[in-house]
Amino acid sequence: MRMLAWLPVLLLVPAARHMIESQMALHMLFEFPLLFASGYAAMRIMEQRMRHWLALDHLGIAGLTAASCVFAFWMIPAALDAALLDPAVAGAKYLSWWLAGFAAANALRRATIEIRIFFLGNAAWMSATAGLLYLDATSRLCVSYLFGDQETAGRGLVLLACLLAFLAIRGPRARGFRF
Amino acid sequence: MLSAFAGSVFALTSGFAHWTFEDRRVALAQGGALKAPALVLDDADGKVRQAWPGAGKNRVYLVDFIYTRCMSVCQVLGSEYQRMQEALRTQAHPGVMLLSVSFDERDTLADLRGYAERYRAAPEHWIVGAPHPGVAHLLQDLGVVVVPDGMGGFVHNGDIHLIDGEGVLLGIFAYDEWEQALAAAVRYEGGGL
Repeated sequence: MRMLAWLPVLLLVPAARHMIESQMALHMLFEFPLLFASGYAAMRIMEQRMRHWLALDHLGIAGLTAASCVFAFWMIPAALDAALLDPAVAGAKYLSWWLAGFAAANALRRATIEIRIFFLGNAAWMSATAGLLYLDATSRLCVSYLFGDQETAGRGLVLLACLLAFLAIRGPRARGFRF
Repeated sequence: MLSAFAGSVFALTSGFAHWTFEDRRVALAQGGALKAPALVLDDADGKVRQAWPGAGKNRVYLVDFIYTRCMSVCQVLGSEYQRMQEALRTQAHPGVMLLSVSFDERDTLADLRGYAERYRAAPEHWIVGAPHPGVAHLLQDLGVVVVPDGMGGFVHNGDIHLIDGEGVLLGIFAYDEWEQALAAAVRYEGGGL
């Protein structure tokens, strides 16, 4: 957990960051999840100490809503370009994805099965929609990426959608739950 | 929290209207919000020329961004610029100037001359040049992004930029809209739209 929490330090190395961010699929499907996972791990480490504060988030709805907003925002093509061209937006990206993971880690544990399915299902649907839009586009939607990159990222987002849908119905809280 | 989200999306997309960087750029240009930094070029004949500022409001430039090894969009742009040059020659619009700016640092004077000769660019209508000292600032301020294609070339913006003699970006036209670009340039030359 501790190692995972510190992994985004990797992005401080300009060569590594450039390598990851120069490919749309790596940017969206490696860097975003990496930051999310780091925030997630940090929360799991600090959860015990923060439990009084965390209790304020009834059933984790606030945390999951925040994480969903972050997810939705970074699916927008203009946001990806802005993150590459404007350092302030890049900073907001790192922070928001990390916080999304931080918020979601505890919220997912507090959520009931219905809430969990609602939010993860919603994320799956969003990822699939964005992925199919990127796959369907006949021109480059991001000026910073090649057309082939966009297709790869589109395919990756559809796969991510499948994974999220799987997690929605087969997560730890869903055990024993049958449709 | 939701209003913060809606606010950020609103700001990013200029009011839920422009979801891609390029759409946003075109909208900004239409509002006159983009300005190019001073542009000094080494042209294909080795002359140093200042395009803007200082050329006055009645001078307009139709600017494209190229590299001479380009096998795709620059060739299309080259032929279109050739047709625009023909039009300028026959219709006499002294205030309209064509400008092809190389963004590839590998382009030498000989490369630029080769490009100019290939498309018969006449310096009184069409200048082919490389910015002096570098192109990075110009591209950044105009929102033109050049991506290496991994094969020694670039994928880049093929738009035609209408820029006045003070460096203000007046409009952006897709590479197949050269007729509209030229018509707009002629209107500006005649004292604005």
